[in-house]
Amino acid sequence: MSTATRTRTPHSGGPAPSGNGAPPMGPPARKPFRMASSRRRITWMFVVFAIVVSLFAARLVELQLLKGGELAGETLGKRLVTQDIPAVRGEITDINGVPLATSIEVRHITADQTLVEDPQETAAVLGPIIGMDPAVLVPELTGERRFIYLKKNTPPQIWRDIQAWRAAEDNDGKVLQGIFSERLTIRDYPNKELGANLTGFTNAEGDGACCLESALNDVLNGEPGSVSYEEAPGGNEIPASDVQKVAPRPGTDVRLTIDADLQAIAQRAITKQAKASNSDFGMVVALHVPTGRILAMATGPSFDPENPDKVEPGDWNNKPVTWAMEPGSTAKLMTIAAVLDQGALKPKSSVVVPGTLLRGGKAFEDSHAHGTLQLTLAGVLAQSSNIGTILAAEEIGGDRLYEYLRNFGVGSPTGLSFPGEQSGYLLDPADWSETTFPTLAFGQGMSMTAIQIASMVASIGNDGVYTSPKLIDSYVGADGTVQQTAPGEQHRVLKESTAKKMQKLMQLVLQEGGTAKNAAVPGYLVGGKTGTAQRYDEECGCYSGYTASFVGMAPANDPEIVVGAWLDNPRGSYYGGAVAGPVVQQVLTAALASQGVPPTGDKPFKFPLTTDGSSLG
Amino acid sequence: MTQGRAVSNSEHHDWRDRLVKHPASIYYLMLGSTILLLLLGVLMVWSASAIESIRATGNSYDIASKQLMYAVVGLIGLWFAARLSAGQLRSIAWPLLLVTLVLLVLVLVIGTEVYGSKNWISLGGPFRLQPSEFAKIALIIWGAHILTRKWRPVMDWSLLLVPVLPTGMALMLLVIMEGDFGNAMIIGVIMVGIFYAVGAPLRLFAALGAAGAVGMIFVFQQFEYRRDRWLAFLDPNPDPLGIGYQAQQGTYALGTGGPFGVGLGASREKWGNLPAAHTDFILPVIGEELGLVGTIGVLGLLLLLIWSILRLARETPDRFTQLLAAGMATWLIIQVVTNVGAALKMLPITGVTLPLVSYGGSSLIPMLVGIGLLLGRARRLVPESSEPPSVEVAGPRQAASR
Repeated sequence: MSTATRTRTPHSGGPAPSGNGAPPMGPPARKPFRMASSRRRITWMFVVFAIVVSLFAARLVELQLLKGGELAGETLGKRLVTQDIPAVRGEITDINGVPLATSIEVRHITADQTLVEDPQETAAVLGPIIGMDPAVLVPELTGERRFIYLKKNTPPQIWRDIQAWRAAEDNDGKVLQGIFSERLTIRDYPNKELGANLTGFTNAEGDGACCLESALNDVLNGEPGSVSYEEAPGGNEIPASDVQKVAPRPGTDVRLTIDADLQAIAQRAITKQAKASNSDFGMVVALHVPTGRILAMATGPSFDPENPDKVEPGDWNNKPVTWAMEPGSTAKLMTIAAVLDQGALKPKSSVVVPGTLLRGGKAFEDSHAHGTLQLTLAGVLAQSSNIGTILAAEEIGGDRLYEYLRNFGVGSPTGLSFPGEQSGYLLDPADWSETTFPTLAFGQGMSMTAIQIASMVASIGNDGVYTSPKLIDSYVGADGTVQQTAPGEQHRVLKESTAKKMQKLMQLVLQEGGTAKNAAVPGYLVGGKTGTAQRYDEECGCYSGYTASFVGMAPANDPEIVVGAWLDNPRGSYYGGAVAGPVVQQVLTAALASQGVPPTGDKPFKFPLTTDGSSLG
Repeated sequence: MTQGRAVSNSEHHDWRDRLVKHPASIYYLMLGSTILLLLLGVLMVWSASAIESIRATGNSYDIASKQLMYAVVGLIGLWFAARLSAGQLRSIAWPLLLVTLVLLVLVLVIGTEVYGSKNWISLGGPFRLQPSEFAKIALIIWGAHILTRKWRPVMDWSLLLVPVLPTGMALMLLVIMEGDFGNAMIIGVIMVGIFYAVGAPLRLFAALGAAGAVGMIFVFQQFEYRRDRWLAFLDPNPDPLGIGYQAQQGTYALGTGGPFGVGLGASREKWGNLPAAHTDFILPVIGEELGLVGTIGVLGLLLLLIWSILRLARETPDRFTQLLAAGMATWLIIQVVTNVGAALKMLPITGVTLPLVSYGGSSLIPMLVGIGLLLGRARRLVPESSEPPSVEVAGPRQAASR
């Protein structure tokens, strides 16, 4: 140790400590120095620490006060999850509240494969709960897919069972991690085919795809609500978080005028008869005469609205409203009524009916060949004579007849607003040919739907006042408020006296010498009219086959119920009385009972059908 | 007027004297702030860990009850430590260091690896020992003992630095070999703190700082992911799933808490967004549940604890007590600064726990024992104490240096 190094030490840091950054050791370390004051150093330590702590405090004020809201909002946005709460779709019920279409809550069980730790174990637990073979589940739970459906449309109880299993203390909550559910409501048709052509069905999104379901979609659908909550990684709801819930507005229930029991009888009867008569299809309509309410409206065969794809789309149609046909003989009611109403003829007036009648270069005939008959006007109706009806119609002329037909609703929509409704076809008089008038008189050359024909008959039953038919009774809100629909629109078609005469004459159809002897309902006076119309085939543009029909009403002296039945293209017997009569008789009997109409006795109304006293077979 | 003011002034001083200036106040402030931090810690560990616990074991108290057990064990340790006299403590300084060195070597051989660091010795069952945590308290006791013995008004380098500096560096090296850079840094800082408090020339720290910088550059070159992790806090918009995610979530938690918090137990971040919510990142959870009031309260309690320890260091006539307190204060300061700095996204994340508050027995128990030692020293500051002042202050022992 030299004196030179010794003297340099007090003035500088010395070369050794700063030389290579390593701790100073070796010879230079021998240089002595004074130690600094520990107390002062300790004070400095505190001062520096206190400054750092105040910086931290300032930073805390910045993060928690100044930028707190901004940061909280930023992170809330990342955690916040909003889910729709589906609104429950309204029910479609019959007049007594029996559901024809209803909605039930179901859950789709789903999985996030990346969150499933042990597919084997998870499948073993989950399988029995959701009713699936664990061996089938394992591959569904294995992989990298973030979303997969395990089972669709499970009842809500299944999901509750899964949650209960998770919550149970003995169970390891991790086993079912990654299993989720989707809540939704599906449409249920508890009575399957019953009223299927009326209600229709819904599509996968839950919107109506046919018939009333689609026509009333906006009414039935409520407004979905939503729930927002904060979600932890892994999908759990954080319980302490603020939950924003907007309750869904449930849909409105629709109450039809239909009586489900009667609908069932009608549907069964027409389906059976359509098959028995080897027809393409059958239709039946039951109307409440004073109000125009539709008590039953069936198409047979029908279909299962939960599996609509099993039939052709054409079979979804509610044919009594969507199928227009030539009314045939049932339209003679309008012609005869018009003639009576105009006072041109009386029921007892004589109509001489030749075997054939030439009009506009065309020979018209009756359904059964005959020589010249001496009929009364009543006999023309009972016998359903085409020639007699033409001759009667000529007493008032084409323009008058056209007015009456229009007033009876021919060619006008009924106001049901049912999807696909046909308004029928009636040529304007300006466009008539020479044969149009005689053809129209007995029900050809125009088209009507079943509901139009039934409404026409009902207006005779309603003492001459037409009432537009009505299918929807009321709307019932989720809060129970009932909104009745407006009553059917009414207008007078016939004088009351004319209508009364018609009600009597229509009874003759079911009696000896009439065309529908087998449609009588024991205990009630029944009136009606058969129809055996030639069937216009759109495919060939020609007449092919027949539409057999019968429209009856009871009690004939004060009608309450009108029931009509139509069978399209029966291959076998095709006379309306024989084919459609039994269906009407069945439905009418049931309707009178369900509406509580007291029996009138069935003592027949007697009236001469011929002017020469001969009897008709 | 002047009279009245004078009276009130003197009253004020009386009040302050009794609460703060009285030597016993150090003891009670130290004990009080420790107990409050400990209680708050157990409570917040419970709240922050409940979700993770119930997910892992089905018992929401699982982690919290362990922490409570550590606290009880630590308090028993504190009680025993407070009963040791300076002489007794100094007599076990060397054995303590040697045992620590043996354990640090042993852990390299039979240690258990956790989170990439091989720094645990399994003691069977749930009990594990982390020698690097015990190395800190051992270094503080031993360093204070050695430097007390060596201290002269005028010293030279070898007298000052040998054997404390090489021993401290050996400890650091062993801890680095375990892969635990955070604790190695803390050990280094504790050593620097003791040298600073003993009054070493400032140029020593310039040299040590330079050495530390060189060491850090070396480490960064060796382990790139550590550099990325260290520098991530500077990124204002970190990749939400990447390195800066944790610190970002920490600031979210603090922001959500606002001035008064969302309420005890109501933290959203602890549901899985914020990793290590009950260990390194407990402060953000406190901030979320108890708000700015809670975080400032915790900082205030830590400041009070460190202030009382440093006051002990200032006031004590005993140099060993002084260095012991300065070492403990350094330990607390470096942990508070690195932990809080990381949680506030001002410093890199090092995985250092918040002393007395964060979960973990290996950090809590030695810390409580260390505070117990200081409580034992502080109690003897009280004039009524019968213990005679340590001999060192009366005059240096006869020259021990060779």
